[in-house]
Amino acid sequence: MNGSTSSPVSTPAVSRELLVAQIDASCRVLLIPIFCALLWLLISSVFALITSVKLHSPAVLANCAWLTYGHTRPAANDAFVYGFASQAGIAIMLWLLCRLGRTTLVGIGPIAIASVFWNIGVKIGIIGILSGHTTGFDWLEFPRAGSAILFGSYAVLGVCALLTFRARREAALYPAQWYILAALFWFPWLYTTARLLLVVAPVRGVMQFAVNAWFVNGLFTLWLTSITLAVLFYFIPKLSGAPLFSRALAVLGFWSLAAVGGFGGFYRGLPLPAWMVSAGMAATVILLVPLLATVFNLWLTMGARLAPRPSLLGYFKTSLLFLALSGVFAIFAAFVPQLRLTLFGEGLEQFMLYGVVGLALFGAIHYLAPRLTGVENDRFVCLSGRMITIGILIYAGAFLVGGIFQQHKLVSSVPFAEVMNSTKMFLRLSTIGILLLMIGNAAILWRVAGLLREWCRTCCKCCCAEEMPVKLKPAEAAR
Amino acid sequence: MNHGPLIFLGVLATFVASWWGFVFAPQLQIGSQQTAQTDTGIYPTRRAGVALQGQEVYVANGCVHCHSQQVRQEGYTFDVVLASVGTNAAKVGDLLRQIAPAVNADEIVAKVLAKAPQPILTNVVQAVAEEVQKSLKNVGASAQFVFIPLGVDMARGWGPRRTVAADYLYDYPVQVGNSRLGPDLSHIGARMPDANWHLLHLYDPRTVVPGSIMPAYRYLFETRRIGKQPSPEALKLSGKFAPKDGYEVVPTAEALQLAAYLQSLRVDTALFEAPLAQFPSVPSGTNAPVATNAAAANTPNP
Amino acid sequence: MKDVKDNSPEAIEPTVQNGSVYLPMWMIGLLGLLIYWGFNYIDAHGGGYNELVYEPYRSTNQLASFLPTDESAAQIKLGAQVYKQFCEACHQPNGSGNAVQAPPLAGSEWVLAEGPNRLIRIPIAGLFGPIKAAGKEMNANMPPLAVAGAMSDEQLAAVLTYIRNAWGNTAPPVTVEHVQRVRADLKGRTDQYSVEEIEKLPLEVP
Repeated sequence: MNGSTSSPVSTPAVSRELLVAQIDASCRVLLIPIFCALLWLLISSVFALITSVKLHSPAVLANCAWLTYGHTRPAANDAFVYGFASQAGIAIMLWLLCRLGRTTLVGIGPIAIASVFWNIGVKIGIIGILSGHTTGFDWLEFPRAGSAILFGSYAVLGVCALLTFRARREAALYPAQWYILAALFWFPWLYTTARLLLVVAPVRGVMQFAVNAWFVNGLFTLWLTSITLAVLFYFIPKLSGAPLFSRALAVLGFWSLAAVGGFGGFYRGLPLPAWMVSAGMAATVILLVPLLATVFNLWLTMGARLAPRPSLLGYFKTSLLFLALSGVFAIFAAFVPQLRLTLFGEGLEQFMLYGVVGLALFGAIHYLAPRLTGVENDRFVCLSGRMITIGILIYAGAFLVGGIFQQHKLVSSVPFAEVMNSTKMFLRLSTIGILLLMIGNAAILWRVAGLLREWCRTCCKCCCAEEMPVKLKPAEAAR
Repeated sequence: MNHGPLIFLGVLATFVASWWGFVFAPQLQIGSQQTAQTDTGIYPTRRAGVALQGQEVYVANGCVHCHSQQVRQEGYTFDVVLASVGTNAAKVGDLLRQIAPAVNADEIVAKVLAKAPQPILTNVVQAVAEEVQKSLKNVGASAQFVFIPLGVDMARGWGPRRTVAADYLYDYPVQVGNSRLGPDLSHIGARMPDANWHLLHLYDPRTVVPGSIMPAYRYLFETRRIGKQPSPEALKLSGKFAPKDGYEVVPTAEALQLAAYLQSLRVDTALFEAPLAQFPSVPSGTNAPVATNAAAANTPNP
Repeated sequence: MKDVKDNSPEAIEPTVQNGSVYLPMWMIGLLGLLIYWGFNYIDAHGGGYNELVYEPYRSTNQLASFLPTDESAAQIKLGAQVYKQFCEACHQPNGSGNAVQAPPLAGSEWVLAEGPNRLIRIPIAGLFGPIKAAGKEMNANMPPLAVAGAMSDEQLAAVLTYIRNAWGNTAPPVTVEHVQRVRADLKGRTDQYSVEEIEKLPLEVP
């Protein structure tokens, strides 16, 4: 809002609730992408487990070409980003546009079809990676077929999002909507440019690496961060019961992220001209400003309260804290020689994925799913949150710390075999971390599946008389 | 900030800035780079035949997720090499005693007279090297300074100089890599030129590097019954790695292609943007001295 | 604080605080400072936006300074210039000399002698008398073209190196130091050399 009043609409309370119920009802189609996203999340963590085990016990599953490390690692990463994070992110952004614009979702049918095709695209992509038909570029490994389908479904989803945005009844824009608009624009531009310049009409030589690095930086700093910030800006004030602290800080944070976020992604020592590398490194430092602005804003909104009892707000608080940490770690990764090349680099990526984006999306899904299905139960809300938080601290933490030790040894004259030997303990720790992550992923999937099952039973009540269960009213389903 | 179109325009403008800076401008610079003419011919040359197929195997197996192909450099230094003594050996000897007290001047002069250039100064800065070169020229001798790249990667023998855009010109897809869970491979063809070593390493890395965490690529090999005679291509395995009695392990075409690709990886051509110890060089056919960092490259460390 | 146990749908959407323009000056200052630092960093490490400059090099000029300075080539180029200016008129562009004015230089044993002592003295002090060079006999009549002031040490060394390496000749170069020693030896001498006299001198520079 403009900040003119803290109450959004002047209509009476009853019609407000009705409107929200209508909005949520129109958004039921988003359960398709959300549920499929959680399935992909679990699949991704299975691949991540295999990858992690192979790091310290390379003999495991060594004879299977499809499950070699070079296949399972990109499969895990891409399944997470495209299967889970992007899909769930788009679904949540659509819901946010509806809620913040006080309008129902536009294009329910196309969204349903697009979601199905999105998952087909991801499936083709993952199978392509496992069978060796990879493009060879980081985070863009999907073969052409999968990527084309993905892009087509994104186009439909993006258009529906824009139509929903245009149909809004609230003229004023809340910061979350800025981030959603920006993200919806950034992703197709990044993805199209990268695929065009790398796969369709490839550029020559190390320019491919430059475009790839630019894309990966955009993917993390612009696309995934925008999804996270849209979620955080929505849920933190809402669940804290307080208005967002400062509009000016939000404006500063948004525009400085937009201006600087596209740069970056390069670290010291790359085989690129010195100006590109130093510009990228400088941008990574300047990103501290949007980071500080956003963290300050949201932290002051929460009133700096450390809620002792677990609640959904915990997801978003932790996500915010991890966002701040990852911004700082990114600077180290860019400046300390070889640090990005060690386990630290990979740990930082996973930290951002699970710790920042994952936690924010989990919180949003935990809030969203009961409201979309109309079924109320809060099983596993705390469990999934705790498992993810502890799991990522162990998993990414092991890699981050192990990476520092590895870097120390790499820049000295320690023989290489000895360098990797000394990281074995951290590699084993990371497997434990992933197991915890898997439990967390399974927990949220189980919860949402349970909600869907309950909801389906409610729907099927009309269709099949003998299957009518006893207690199905939403109020009664709450335990 | 309440108008969608304005936000869109702002986001577009800022994004175009980053696209311009990191995609378009570099495309004009390094994207349009051509091959370079060097002392040893055109650089780089396209990989041909088996090595090119091997590159596809490398990409398909995702080797880039553990191995980087970027040699890094932190600095450089100079050596000074006396190439010829000229007509006044005694004066040269005196000068040597003055400027390079660490070396045996008479021995050096004698060796150089016998047409074997000798290093007289190591690890000096460019100004000192040029100074020494000039003062030797004034007494009729001829000295050259030898440029030596310095870096952790060079000390490990992972490459004699840093990699630059020219090294990747004909690669598709470029596998620069962001991960060093395994050693850097830019120069592996010079470090490990033996195809057999590569085949053993691929079959099971623990055969040649005990304690390695690299996965075994046994599916690139075929374990089959020995025919009338053992195949000449069969891997020589022993101990726990050897196949059952009566069986032999033979590399498939993919394994051979991958080994050929690895053998083709090297970065030892001197370029303008990446100078190297052999550049300037002492005349070939003489006992060229080994530059200080290159000595490390001779140790067979993967 | 609302949490997920709340049964009624939350209809209040998040808003921004009333009249909030909180924007601490230090944050703006930090942004400015970081941008300033950023551009300084790129200036210092960016190699002038040149695509040929990679870390740790600073500029293409620096890279060019690492190239071998082809000293002999530079000297020969200078020598050719001096030859054209001072010597070509009589000794001819192809070093064949002129039956009347100057003996040939191409293939001349005077030019090719290992020790350049006599050769250096000729242009500095001049030469006269019957001379035999490259199979030709004639009367030498060389004026002292390279007296101090008319030609520098570098130029003389260069042109002598040039003639010793041109037209099929191959002989060691003449250094500046050689020239300096000969000039020191000739200090105060005003007479030209006769061929007889100069042939008595050693070939090595004193």
